[in-house]
Amino acid sequence: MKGRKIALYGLLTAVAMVLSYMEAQIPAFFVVPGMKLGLTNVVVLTALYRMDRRDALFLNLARIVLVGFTFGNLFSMLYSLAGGLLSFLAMAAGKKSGKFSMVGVSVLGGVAHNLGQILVAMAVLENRHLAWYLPFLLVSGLAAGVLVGVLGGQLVKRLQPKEKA
Amino acid sequence: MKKGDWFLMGGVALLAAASLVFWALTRQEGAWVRVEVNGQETASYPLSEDRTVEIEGANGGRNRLEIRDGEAWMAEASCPDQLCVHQPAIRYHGQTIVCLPHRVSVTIEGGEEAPLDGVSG
Repeated sequence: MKGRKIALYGLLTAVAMVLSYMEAQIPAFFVVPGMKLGLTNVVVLTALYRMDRRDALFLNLARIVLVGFTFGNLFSMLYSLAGGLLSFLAMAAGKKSGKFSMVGVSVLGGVAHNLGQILVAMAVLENRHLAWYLPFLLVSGLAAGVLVGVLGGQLVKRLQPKEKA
Repeated sequence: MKKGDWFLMGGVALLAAASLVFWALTRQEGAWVRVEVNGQETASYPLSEDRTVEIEGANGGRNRLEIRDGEAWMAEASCPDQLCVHQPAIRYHGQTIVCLPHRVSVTIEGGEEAPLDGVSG
């Protein structure tokens, strides 16, 4: 059982790295350099449903640090951290409330992710006018959330441990 | 999918639409283009005059700012990521283009002095 968990950790971290790289190839989204769409949330979402909250938080932090050092810089890490932690909190709370399916939880995470990033951008750049990007960020958070939720649902289904015959 | 999902998604979409309407109603035409490097204003240009500006950013970085037809955009940057070049043109008060590696920001300022105000007089 322990070996399986370690394997899952490694697998999900690897998926997060690949998704981060893919995401970095979509420049159209950037309101501010360093911001991300949040597709890597699929990993945190999967961990939340397939493992437990603590594992999801660890995975989240691990991928932020790893991705930050590999593809990013200090600023992008700061954005990831703010987005990642806020979306983790929103998803953990959303799941615990029991009111949402995986898609709803993921939408909460996606929107929270983008809000966290824009808040950091506003603080770093001392520019409150960035709030004008809010509608755009809400919609992109919603879209990314639905996508991540559906993907995560598939992942969780396929990662279901097989019963021993 | 649960009922909560639909309420949530509808709520987010509604909020986005509402903030978009709010933005459209409160936005002001810009009058000036303010250039800042390292948080210090280095220059301002009227948005109504077409011009090309070379900006010297921090760390020896260079950006080329285009002001044309009442819009401003970053046409070129000497940084590897080119993120500021991908940002859309700006024209309304408060809109900003940022080049983080060079610590350059370009902001549209509103024009309280409104040169066209002579209509009422």
